[in-house]
Amino acid sequence: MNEPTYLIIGAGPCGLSLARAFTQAGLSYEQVERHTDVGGIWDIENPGTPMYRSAHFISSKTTSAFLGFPMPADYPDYPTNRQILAYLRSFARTFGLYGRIRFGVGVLDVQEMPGGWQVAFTDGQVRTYAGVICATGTNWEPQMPELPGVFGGEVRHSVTYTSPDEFRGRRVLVLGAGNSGCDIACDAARSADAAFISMRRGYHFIPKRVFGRPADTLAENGPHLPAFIERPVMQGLLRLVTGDLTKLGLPKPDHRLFESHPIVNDQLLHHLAHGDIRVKGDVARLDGPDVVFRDGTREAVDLIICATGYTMNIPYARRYFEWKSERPDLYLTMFNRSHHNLFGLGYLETDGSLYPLADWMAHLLTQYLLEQRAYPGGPQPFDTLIREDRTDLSGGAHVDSPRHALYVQRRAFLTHLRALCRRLNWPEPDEAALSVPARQAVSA
Amino acid sequence: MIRAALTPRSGRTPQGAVAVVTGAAGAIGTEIALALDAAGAHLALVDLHRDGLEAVQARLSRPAQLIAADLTRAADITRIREEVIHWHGACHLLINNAGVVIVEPFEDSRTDTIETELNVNLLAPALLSREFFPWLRLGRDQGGAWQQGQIVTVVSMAGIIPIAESAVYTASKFGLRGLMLALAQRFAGQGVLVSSILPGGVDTGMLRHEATHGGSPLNFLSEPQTARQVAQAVLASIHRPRLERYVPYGDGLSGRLAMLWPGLLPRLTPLMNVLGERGRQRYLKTRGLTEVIPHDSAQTP
Ligand SMILES: Cc1cc2nc3c(=O)[nH]c(=O)nc-3n(C[C@H](O)[C@H](O)[C@H](O)COP(=O)(O)OP(=O)(O)OC[C@H]3O[C@@H](n4cnc5c(N)ncnc54)[C@H](O)[C@@H]3O)c2cc1C
Repeated sequence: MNEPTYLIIGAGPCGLSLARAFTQAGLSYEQVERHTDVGGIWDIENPGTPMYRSAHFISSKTTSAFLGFPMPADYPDYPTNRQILAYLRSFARTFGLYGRIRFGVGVLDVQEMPGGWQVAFTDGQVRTYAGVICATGTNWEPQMPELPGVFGGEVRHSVTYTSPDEFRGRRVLVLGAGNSGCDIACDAARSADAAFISMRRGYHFIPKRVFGRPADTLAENGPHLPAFIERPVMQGLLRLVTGDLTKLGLPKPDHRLFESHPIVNDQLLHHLAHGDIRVKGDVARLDGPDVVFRDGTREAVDLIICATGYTMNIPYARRYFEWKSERPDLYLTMFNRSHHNLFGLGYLETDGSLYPLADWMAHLLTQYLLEQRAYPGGPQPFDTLIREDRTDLSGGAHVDSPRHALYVQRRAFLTHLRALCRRLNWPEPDEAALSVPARQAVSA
Repeated sequence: MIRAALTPRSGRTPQGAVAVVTGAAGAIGTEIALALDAAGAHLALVDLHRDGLEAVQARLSRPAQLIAADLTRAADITRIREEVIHWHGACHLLINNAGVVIVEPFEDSRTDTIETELNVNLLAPALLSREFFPWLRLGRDQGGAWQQGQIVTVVSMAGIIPIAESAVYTASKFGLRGLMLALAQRFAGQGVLVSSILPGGVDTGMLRHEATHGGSPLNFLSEPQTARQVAQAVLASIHRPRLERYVPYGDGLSGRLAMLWPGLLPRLTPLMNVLGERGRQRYLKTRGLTEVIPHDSAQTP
């Protein structure tokens, strides 16, 4: 019998992480990427990418690198999108991943067959695999808000935004204060004639650097205190560093720190303090040249950028996933509970960098597939966990918002994955082994 | 009833657990199945023949998985694991209960009966423990509390005290007790609990056969226990895991004491046999049983 071959769809960061894990474990796989190169959303040339010129990493380079593959020493704490793209490509080169990727080929449809999966590609080919891993990202289908009324200006989703040049001479309103909303608002503060940011609720703002270090390295390496101690301590610290944000016109957060994704941004606070941008509440309706807000105020605006997020979707295999508040409900955000050997990688929202988590998940998936050899045709212990394990990975209570429906707290997630490795007698990812580049010979 | 009131409510319970019971159609196995069923476990019952299992099923509150399998065959043991995992997707409790005793003088014994005794009593629990271990170590979440997987093995007092009339049986049970003690240590760090139950004589068909066919009088030193009492000990071991439980407790004590100097056993044995023989006669009388040819009379003093 032939060795089982798996298909990885997508060559963004998650697809690359998995390709390295498969390569190193000697699993047989193919990979397709509809774009012309690796890098996913970080390639600003990739049609439909939400990337914009001013985007930087939100997590710092020390906590964000793939396991065993640190970012270059000359990178800043928060690399630019171009640096991240270069890093991703050097990752793919170093581990010899390019050779197995078919570029310019997308997946149209996936079909479950007895004992495998049949995949239809955009180039007309149809092939069958022992398993399929969807790693096609979560930032491709914009979510637009309902804006009642008639508007004389232009309304766009942030996915179409690339450069501050688009703002010159215009009055700009950015809807939504997520991480990209804040970034784009800062671009508008510097380039537009007038800039506003509308937020529905108050957020906690965390500066990118504290005590001369990237803020997230503190969380990563600092003492792990129980939330009831950590929260007041951090909240107190934040008040010292950022002060009372309501003085800048920001709404008071309606939730406690860490109960929802904090905004890692200090530029917005800078621009608010300088009056380059003003905070507005929720939009009530559009009215010709004006936007009318809930509080009754109105502003003349000619461009609305909706930084209102994305809908997760896996269009080519949608029917095989269970969707909960627009998110695929997967065990550990990865394992399909009812369809054997159909996986997702990267369908999660978390409070930190994604790449080390992706490596952990890729490792688990690899172990799982390797162990299928020990139980040919039959279920293995991990299948029991896929069915039974409902461990809460959110690390505690979170605000009731669809965004946090399947929220994964990095620390809780990693703790759980480590515990699983112990229970399953699986090794943990070996950073030293992961850092070894591919041998050149095996390019056939 | 006082017992029940004292049982901590928060402790381990088989409620919702998947439990595999071997020898489930026998007297003790049936009682274990009934007790686990009453406690809310999902059962996989294993025995040689399906009809025996169906008789047990008729007394249970919910459908159980019935697996006819021959524990002397390694292929059957793998199949048991496959079927259980296929059906339940999990295994949280493994109750090694199946056991056989073949009453024949050792000098006349046949190789295949020796093998059968060793295979059922010793090899099968070893193989089953190995097969289910990867699932047992997963444990389970029980109402927010973590619950470890567990192996509970019905050994026998013959795992502590040699029985001259059943030498191979003794060997198999000594081995079984050792296996479980070793596994208890080995699995301690790997999240699986291991417990043994060591009953003295238990009033089952097996014991009646021994009583009437020249089995050891040692079985009757104390009043034979009921199968139910053994099943209760199994449940107690799940609620409050313990390395070994003796049924009755006193037998375990005297048995272990006697084994401090096995050299003294030959001197103790005649006395114990006299006492045991009295017990056996009492047992025969109260059960209205009559002795079949005592073909091993030479050993009875
Ligand atoms: C502005 C912004 C800032 C961010 N900052 C950070 C950060 O600081 N730290 C961090 O860890 N993460 C950050 N992220 C999260 C980001 O999602 C990840 O860094 C990463 O890009 C996700 O990788 P992915 O491989 O899952 O998906 P993607 O990057 O989306 O890659 C998916 C790939 O699949 C391809 N594809 C899609 N459909 C098909 C198909 N049908 N057939 C074939 N190929 C297909 C796409 O072309 C793409 O190349 C940020 C995201 C945004 C938008």
